Amino acid sequence: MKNFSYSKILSHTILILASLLFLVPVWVIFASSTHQPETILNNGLQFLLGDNFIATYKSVLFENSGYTKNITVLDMIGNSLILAFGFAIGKVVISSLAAYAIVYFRFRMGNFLFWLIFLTLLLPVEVRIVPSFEVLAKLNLLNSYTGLIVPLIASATGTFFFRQFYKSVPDELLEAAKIDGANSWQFFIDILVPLSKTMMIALFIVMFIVGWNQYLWPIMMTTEPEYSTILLGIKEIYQSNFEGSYLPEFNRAFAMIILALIAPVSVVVILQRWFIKGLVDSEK
Amino acid sequence: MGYLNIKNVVKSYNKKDNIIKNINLSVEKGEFLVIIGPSGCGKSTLLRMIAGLEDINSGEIEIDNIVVNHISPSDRDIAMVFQNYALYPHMSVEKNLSYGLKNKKIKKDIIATKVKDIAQLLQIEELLARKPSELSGGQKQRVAMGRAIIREPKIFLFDEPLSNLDAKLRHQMRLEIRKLHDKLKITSVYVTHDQIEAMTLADKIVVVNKGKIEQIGTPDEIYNNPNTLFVSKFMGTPPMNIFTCKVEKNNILFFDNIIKIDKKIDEEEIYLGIRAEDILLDVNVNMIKLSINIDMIERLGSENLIYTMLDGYEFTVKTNAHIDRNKTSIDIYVDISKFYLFSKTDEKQIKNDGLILI
Repeated sequence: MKNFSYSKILSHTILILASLLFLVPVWVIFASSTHQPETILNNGLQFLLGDNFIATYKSVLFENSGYTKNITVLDMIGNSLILAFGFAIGKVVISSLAAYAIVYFRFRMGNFLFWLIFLTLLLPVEVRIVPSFEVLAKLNLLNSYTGLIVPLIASATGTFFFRQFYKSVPDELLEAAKIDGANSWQFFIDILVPLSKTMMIALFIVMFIVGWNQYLWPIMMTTEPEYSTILLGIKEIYQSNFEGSYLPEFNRAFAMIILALIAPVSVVVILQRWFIKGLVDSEK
Repeated sequence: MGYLNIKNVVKSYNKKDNIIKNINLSVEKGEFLVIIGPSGCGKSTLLRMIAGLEDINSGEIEIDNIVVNHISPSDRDIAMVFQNYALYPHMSVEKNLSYGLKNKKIKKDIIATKVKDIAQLLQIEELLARKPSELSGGQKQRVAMGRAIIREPKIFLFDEPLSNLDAKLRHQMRLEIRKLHDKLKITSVYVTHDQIEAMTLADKIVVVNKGKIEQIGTPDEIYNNPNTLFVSKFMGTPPMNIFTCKVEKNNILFFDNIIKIDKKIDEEEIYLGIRAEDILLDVNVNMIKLSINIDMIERLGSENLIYTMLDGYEFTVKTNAHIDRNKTSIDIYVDISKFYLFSKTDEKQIKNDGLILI
């Protein structure tokens, strides 16, 4: 063979092993989810597909579940999508605008304000969860999408990334745009946003997954089951599996896990192409 | 009163040192003005003040009889070509050209015709669909100029537009800029530190040093009649040779020679300058013979530059005579009618009606 080389074999072996490390558990969960609950309970996890795929997934997706039995998994996925999209889009919009203000409008204490924003990195949601809850309760925003999303969308990391990027954009571009008669808003929309598209997509991907995986805040915020997200749903079904007096439905739980994977995986798969394309023909 | 008037303009960034010190300047309609000076002399700041990208601390800038101090850059009717072109990287050449017009809310079909005309004028028609990253330096330069021309500005501002190009392209673009100006007759202000650009492009040159104007004049005046020591040293490659000479009454002592000047000089010492190219390798009347060691020869093809130290002064000779490679010293002749004299106190040129060698 012409291109035969040990390093090639070695690197491929490592890659294959790493992929297996990630894919095998997912496969086991998927395979197990297609079996009867009794099979899983008696024989443990399954490596081969069972014959219960359609029945399990149909019942999981379309039948009401949860303690109060008034929300389907499809609704939960919908809630998660709203949360994750709102969360990710909100973060991109807020942090790019904040960074734009900090970099391009030399207002008093701009730098100080930036570091203040940056310092909030030290204060994750968990630290401020009680006061945040209090504020939202007083605003009557508990059990609403607004309450679910808005308190989370300020992002110090995002602001920092955009700030660094905007600082690297040559001043002449701003000046050229000024001479070309663009106002601040036009400069942002026409010049900066297209230039930072790659960064926005990258931030969106990361933040979508972070948003999708939000657990603590939704569980605090939503006392009404119709606002519960897929993650809360999974948590709940496990809880009832162990606490309930009837047969634990591991097949349903596993099916929910598989369904919960679809959205973040598709976001990564679809957007990473744009992301890579942006990286390749990005220029400043 | 000119078309562009700069009156008593002062600029400082920290309220202590003025980077621009009380500049007065006027440019006629259709004139090509070149502002030249060493880096950090404030020439770019001055240009940016005309463009409206920098505030003016005091004084006034007038374009076409309108004071523009508080008018935004886009409403001043100016266009600017930047040193790094500052093309919008994500837009095609066509969009780059039309962006300014689009912001002015001009109709699409009018924009399209204008883009087409400009592209034809600058020979960039086949580049319209490309992104700036797919263009060469010279092409980017053309697009940057196109973006400026398309706005039909009252004044065209250039901020060292050729400094990112290689020597050959720079030469070519220089000629093109001048040709374009002759064709369009747009009043232009061009900032550079390159004296060849200044000499070849300008109708009028302004030499700026440390935020002050040293001299305003045509390229000829600046070169042949420098008002100050700074201008004499700054314009011309290699720079003019400068000596400090003792003076007694109206006799100047240059090495062992006494040169008589027709006016009385009150100083004990003055600066005496002679351009490298005014030094000859053969005798003539009114010439002083000097022997120099050859420290280094720069052979440029059409001419040779001889570098040496003469009595502690750096001394350069430019000649097109052939010089033997193994020669270590050479006799030269300086024509005293080519001497420039500068006051040692204020560094202004001491004008005279001719020097006589005694």
